[in-house]
Amino acid sequence: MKKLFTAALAAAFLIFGSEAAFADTPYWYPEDISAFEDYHNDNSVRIVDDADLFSDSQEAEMLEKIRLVQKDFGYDLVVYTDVQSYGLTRGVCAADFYQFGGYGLGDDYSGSVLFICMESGNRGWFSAARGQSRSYFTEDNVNDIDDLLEPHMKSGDYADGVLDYLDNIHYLYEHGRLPAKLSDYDSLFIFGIVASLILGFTYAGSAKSSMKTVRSALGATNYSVPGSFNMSRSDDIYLYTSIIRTPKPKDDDREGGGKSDYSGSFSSSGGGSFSGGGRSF
Amino acid sequence: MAVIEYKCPACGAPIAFEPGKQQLACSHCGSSYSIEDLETSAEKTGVASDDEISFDWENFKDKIQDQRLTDTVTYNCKSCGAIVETDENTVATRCPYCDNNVLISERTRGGLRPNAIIPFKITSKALPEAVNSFYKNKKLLPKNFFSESKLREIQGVYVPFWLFGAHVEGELSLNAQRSISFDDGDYIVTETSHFILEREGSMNFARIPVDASVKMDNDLMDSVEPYDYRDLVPFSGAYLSGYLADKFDSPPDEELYRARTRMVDTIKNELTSSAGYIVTGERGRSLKFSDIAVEYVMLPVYLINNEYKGKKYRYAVNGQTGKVVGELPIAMSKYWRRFFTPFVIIFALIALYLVYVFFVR
Repeated sequence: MKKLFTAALAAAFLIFGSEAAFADTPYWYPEDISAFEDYHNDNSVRIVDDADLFSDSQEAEMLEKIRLVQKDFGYDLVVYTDVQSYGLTRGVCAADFYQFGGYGLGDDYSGSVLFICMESGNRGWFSAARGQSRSYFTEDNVNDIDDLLEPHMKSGDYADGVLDYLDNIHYLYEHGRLPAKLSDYDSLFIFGIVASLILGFTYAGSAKSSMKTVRSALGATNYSVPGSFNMSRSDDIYLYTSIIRTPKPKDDDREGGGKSDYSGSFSSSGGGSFSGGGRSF
Repeated sequence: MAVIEYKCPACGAPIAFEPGKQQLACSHCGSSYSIEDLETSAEKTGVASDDEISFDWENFKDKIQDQRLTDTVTYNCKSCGAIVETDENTVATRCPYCDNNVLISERTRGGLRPNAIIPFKITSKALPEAVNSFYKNKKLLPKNFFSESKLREIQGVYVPFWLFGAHVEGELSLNAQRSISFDDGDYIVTETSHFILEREGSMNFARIPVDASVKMDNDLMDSVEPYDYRDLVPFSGAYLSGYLADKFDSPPDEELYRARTRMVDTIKNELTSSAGYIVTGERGRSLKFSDIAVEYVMLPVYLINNEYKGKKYRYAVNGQTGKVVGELPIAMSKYWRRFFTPFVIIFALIALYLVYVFFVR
């Protein structure tokens, strides 16, 4: 399927013989971007593996999951891999591929694309969403998606990563968020242990201390003659001042993962509005 | 050895001081007598001519302290004739044969007479209730403590105390600092100013109690404080009748350090309580004590021995206020149950929250 699509696009470029068909121009770019108009290409394949990361059976499995998302929620879903990003940012490349490929369902071309770029020195991925799908691709959700995807990408386990990704997108559309992870609650467990220790020692310790009321007397405040204290000298001699500058903890410091390069709204080369984010690996 | 036995002028039976009446009462015929009556009574025997010479520290230091008193440790009970052995410090006791109350007057003579005494106010009958109040809210008491523990001995004892007073002048030199924190862009800036604090001051203390008996546990006696000194009355041996009492066996010089330690703590706190500083260390100090005053008093204490599972637990009860102090056995199973209760509650709440997050939300 992928090869057919690639061949068709390549043929289109040859037929139109555009001067723009130089090395840095994506082969799937339209001849004249300024004249480009959005269209629905229902026949477009949803998995374009130009970086050759997946086997046929894996692609088939992915396609099943994509179909399920389309059926259940009416949002399109595309996976695109390439060995370069054609001099574009990964975000714009992903958005351009989605728009120029005629992807998206409904009047607003709702859906998203996951672009995996295997270009040396520019390896990374980007999820770009268009139309109503954008409302799901919030910064928190994109970060959560990328947290789940990152270990797969870093370990070279691309197919499993994408399969997980597709499942997570289905969950995201269903619940408006990603499934909770137990590891997200590490700090809650640590808080629970620390609080329990403090309360346990206090609760049991106070009861224990009440069992022994024999102690040495400290101080003689009760035996001071009222009003007899007289401070005859009270000098405060200033010596020096030391200054310590501590960096503020950043709100976006995340545990167990990096921070996604997120954009709430950006435009593709074709003028479409997208949201999304991704990371390098 | 000179002894005094307080007997009922009406029937001749032994009489004892009754805290409830604040009088000496005869358990045989029911007569009651004020202390003043007894002091002048003809039944009072064996009173020496220097009986009224009270303790004076200066006199004690100059004349008495270095004299070795040849004290006999036996006396003849005037009631039954038995020869009774006593501790060399015993002032008041009972004949073990006839239970007659005896005051060994020799040990409160010659400048060893206490300056004052607080008579017992709490009766021995009120002790079980006081002890039961002490047990209240003691959450770690073993379950079978009440059924298996037994109050073995209850003794009303007049404990010899020194009451120390002094004028204290202190000089302190301290390292201290004061910090402020504020935001500066991406940084939190903490400015700490360092100071030397020089402080001088003085303070007066009066009647800090320190027990003057070597065999009495110091912490136990510290813990029964405070006493209300408004109840101090001039010493009379009649108050001791029916109770045990020892004379001091640890002179003021040896116990003064305990009062000094407490005074130092307090004046140091007063001098260093300068608002806004955190004291980080002491550079030096000089403390001078003057006008040291010492009074020798007898203060009322009930000593109770309780036995639980073969181990003795000693309580002390302030004989004036009824305050009970002591150490109680701990059921470790109850301790650990309390220790883990917050774990169970907190982790149950966390589990409920996670169930909500993972399965409900």
